[in-house]
Amino acid sequence: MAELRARFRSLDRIAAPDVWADVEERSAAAAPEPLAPVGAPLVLLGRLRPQDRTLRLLLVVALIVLALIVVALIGGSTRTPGPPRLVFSSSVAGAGRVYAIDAAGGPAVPIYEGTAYRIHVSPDGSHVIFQGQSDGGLMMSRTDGSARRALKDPGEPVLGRAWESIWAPDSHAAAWLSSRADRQALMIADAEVGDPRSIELALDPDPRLAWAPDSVHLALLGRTACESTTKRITSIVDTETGLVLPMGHDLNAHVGPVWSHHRSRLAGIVAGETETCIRMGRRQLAIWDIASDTIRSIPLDVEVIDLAWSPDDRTIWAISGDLGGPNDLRWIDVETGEMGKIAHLGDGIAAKWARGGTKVAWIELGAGSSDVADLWTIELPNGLPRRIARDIARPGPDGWPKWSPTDEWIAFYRGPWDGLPDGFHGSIWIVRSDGSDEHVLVDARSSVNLFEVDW
Amino acid sequence: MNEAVVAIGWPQSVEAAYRADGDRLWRALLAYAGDPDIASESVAEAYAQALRRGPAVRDPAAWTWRSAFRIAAGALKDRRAAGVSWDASADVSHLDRHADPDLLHALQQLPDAQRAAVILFYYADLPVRDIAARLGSNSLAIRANLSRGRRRLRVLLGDDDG
Repeated sequence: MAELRARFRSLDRIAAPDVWADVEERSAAAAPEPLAPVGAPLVLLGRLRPQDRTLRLLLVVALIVLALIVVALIGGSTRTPGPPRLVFSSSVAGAGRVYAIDAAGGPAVPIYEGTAYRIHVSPDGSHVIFQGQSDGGLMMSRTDGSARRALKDPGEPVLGRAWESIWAPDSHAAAWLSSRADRQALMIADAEVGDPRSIELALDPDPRLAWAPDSVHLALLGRTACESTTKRITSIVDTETGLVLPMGHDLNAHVGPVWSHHRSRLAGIVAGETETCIRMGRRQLAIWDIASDTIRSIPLDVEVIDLAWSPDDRTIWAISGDLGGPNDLRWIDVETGEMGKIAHLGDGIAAKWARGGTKVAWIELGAGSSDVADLWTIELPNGLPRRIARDIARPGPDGWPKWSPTDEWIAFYRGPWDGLPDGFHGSIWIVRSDGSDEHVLVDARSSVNLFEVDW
Repeated sequence: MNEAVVAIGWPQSVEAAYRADGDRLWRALLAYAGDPDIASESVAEAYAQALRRGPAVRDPAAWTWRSAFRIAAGALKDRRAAGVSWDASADVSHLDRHADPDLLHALQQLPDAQRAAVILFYYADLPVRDIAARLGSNSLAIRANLSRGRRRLRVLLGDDDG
């Protein structure tokens, strides 16, 4: 791999021409292409002269079609009560919109008008945090559309790496890193209160955040760039007191860190091959005992791409695999280091742990195809792989499948995925984790583009 | 990039993005299309479209890469439809004596999707998730294409040392 990468680096020796003048010429030559607001046809309609009957008729037809599209977008089925709200960002005729829709059906609730991205719904489904481009900062709202507010830092819009927002397990607050000017701060916003508070950090840039199960403590772990030898200090932050406790170890994990359920240990995968580089040293599962500040390392002979603690914290469940290669579900005994295979998950999969940590859902491509896939689940520790949805034609963008907060439902995507630069036209489907009650929830067509989804 | 959009205005931020990233994009497209003209055309059109669309473009860096690769893919498709195949003898090694014509030639033997994934992984140093975002695909498909493309490339280059 290193040899291949070195050969690609020879491309840097090729002089690229400066085409910016051509860019400006093309841009100036073309008529501006402003975003068409949904209300634009109405404005145009009012300006028409009485004799423009044909044009008026066409505009009325266009308005009706547009209304039907919106209805198609926000109309959900009313199959089964119970499931939580799903939040999605979209673009309707070029205008950004964020909606929440109850998976039981009913109308979609508008949450935000404008382009939004990096949507994170709280684990209890009550709040959503996202970045609104027009506002330039983070927004928080209830998923019923009420209590929307812009988060300030303090007094200024939150910029920088604000997209790394994550929710506490009990949903009482979201935390993220804000990087403005020459300082970096951990920002914490209470879901029910006003502007966020900050905890100044004197740490490496761009650490990983992981909330502890108590929703009070946060682990901060360095995220080392490829081939970097910089030592990263791991810290624990008490979000109630603001106390930052630097620990003595360099848990430079590229998978994890994952807190044990009883908040006494953190697990992560260190060294080994990652997607972008090979870290020196043997692949290991590192178990950091926080009370004693010691790390136990368990050598691995497979690549681990995701992991979770068993409910009794005695076992690590790990998804192993390589790029496009076979993926297995394995168990690793934390005390003895013994490991074994639970099940084969297929080749080249996209897997997601349910929030409870005892279920895995994954999308597996059909043999020899990049276009057709099936949705599978397994329940640990003794379940068997089960296919719960077939022919997920052309698996959609990243982030799928999406587990509902209660681990009862799984959202997935069906429809064309042809590399559209501005979102995708297709359908959001949901199915119970036992494979029952599969139905479409959001159907995007024509001028409606879907972007991100969370619940 | 998002900070730049807010702070200095859209046209300036697009030009700043071009100055920072345009050369790499052009070289990636050259490796992808095997044709300097297609690379230049795709880069110019992608950035011009980004300028026209304004701040509605959510992530300008990802957007221009994705658009440029789509434009280049369209140009390759048109060229194939016209019966013009890639000419190995007309390689681009004349642009720089240090270029690796074997690599450029081998890349042209890969299917389009595999070639794009391999270039973005090995040349642009992007993780799979970002490659998926820039190609308008998903990690699953990218992993599959990357694995197949890497295997094929090693065979073509006689490089089996891994």
